[in-house]
Amino acid sequence: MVSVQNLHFSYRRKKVFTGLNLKLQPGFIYGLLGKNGTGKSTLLHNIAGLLYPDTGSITVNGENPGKRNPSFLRDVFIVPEEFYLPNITPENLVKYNAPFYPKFSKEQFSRYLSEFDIPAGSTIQHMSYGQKKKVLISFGLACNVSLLLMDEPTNGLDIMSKSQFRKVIAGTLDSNKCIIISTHQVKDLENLIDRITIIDEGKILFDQTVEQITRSLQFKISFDREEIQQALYNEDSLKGNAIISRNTNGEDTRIDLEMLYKAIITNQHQIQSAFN
Amino acid sequence: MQNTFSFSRLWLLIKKQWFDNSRLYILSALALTGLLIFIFLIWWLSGKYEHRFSEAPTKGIFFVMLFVAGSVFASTTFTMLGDKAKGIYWLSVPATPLEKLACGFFFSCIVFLAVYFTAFWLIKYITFFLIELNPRNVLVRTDPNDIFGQKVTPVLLYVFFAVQSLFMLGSVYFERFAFIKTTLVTLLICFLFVIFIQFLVHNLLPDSFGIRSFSKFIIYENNQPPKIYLLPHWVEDILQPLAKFIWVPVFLTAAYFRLKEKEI
Repeated sequence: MVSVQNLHFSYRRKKVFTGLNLKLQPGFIYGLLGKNGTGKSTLLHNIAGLLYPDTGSITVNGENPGKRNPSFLRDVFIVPEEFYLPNITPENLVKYNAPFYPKFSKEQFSRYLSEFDIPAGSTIQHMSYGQKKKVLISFGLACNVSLLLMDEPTNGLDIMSKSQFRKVIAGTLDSNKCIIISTHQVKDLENLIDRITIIDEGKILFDQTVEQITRSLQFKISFDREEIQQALYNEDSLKGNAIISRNTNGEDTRIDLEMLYKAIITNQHQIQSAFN
Repeated sequence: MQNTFSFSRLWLLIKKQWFDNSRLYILSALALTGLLIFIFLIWWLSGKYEHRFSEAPTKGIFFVMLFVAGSVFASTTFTMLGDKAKGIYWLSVPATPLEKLACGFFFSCIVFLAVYFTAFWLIKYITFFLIELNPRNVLVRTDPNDIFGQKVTPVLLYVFFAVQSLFMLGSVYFERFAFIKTTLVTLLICFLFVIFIQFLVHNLLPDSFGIRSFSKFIIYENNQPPKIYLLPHWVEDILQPLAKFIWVPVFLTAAYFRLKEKEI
């Protein structure tokens, strides 16, 4: 589906990627995590053909995104962090944009709008930022493209909307689609993503499936001093010590994405060692 | 899947462009009409007290407004590329750069021209009609049959499309203040070209060298009959239409490649 090979990219003198490699398969939701300014959006823009690699190559379904062929663009949709929608009604948005996407479903679009509680008949001009974003997300999902790129999609959404977002996204995936969600708000993606990719300073720090993570790591609260000392990562919490330790007994625990993210950023090698 | 050019996709793009920007286009057309009414009002005031009106200045109004308003409008063709959010929205539309360019050309040249002609002649004829209602007024007509006979000549269309294409190119290159920057760069290039030609003429050619056409050159020498140098006539046959028609394709080709390589 998406293959990034030896990607080098820089903004004038500022290097962002120096030899990034990544392979993404259909049927998964990928969480692209990282601090601000680490290149998450740049990577998405390269995959969408909005930026061109300095060297290296990117292919999406065998196509070069940089050529921006209609055959590529109609099968990829990006929900950017800074987005624009014309001042028309959602109905007209569909009427004049959907014909470009052959797999677009009006029925799905209406369903997503209603799941997101977007009032029918309102113009985009009179919507709040969060509502506009939900219209765009609904449109992107209803396009039924094989690659959906979302850059910080939960920014600007309220708590209820974030939960609606997770529900809608979870219900939309099928074996032919690949969804890449880039965010620094890791909590928003919990229970949603299948694979976690963490980028830092233009490099992939961590890239594992949720299944591999639960098989290799345990996330729990501990009061046992010895267990805390032996943990791969620990932090104080009101309830005790939150720890990440090796999963030696095959017990499945719920991944604390925020803690995993902090553990990888602060102690990458320890965490990686659990996967070797 | 046609990845080069598709008329059905171009039509979809034109419809989308219109409905995305209809409010802006309607307001622009109203602003243009308002400006023309204002200029015609000044023209009317200039002859009001003598009850004598001449059609001649309206010809100047027609040309100046056509080129000024046209180039300002053409400078906005690709302004969305100067805004990250709008640029992503526009570049992500599944159409080729050629179709997007053709869509821009359609609105900046064809639609603008149609709107401008309609607005200008409507205002002009309404003004003339109102003037002629008063029997004391004298209206001196200078442009009989001026819609297609006098003003809209093929040369005018070549020049208009060339200027519009130039400002469309400017709107791809310059993310902000495209009209001003394109005007300044064009003036600078013209100035440098004149300097370059002056340099060539003074340093490489005799003082009394004259150009009569693309294939005829003449040199006057003291006390001698002038020498005429003739190139084969086909040179002129090629160069003359080339000089006339080359600008639109050159500017649009440059705009096409710039659009193709545009990054957001």
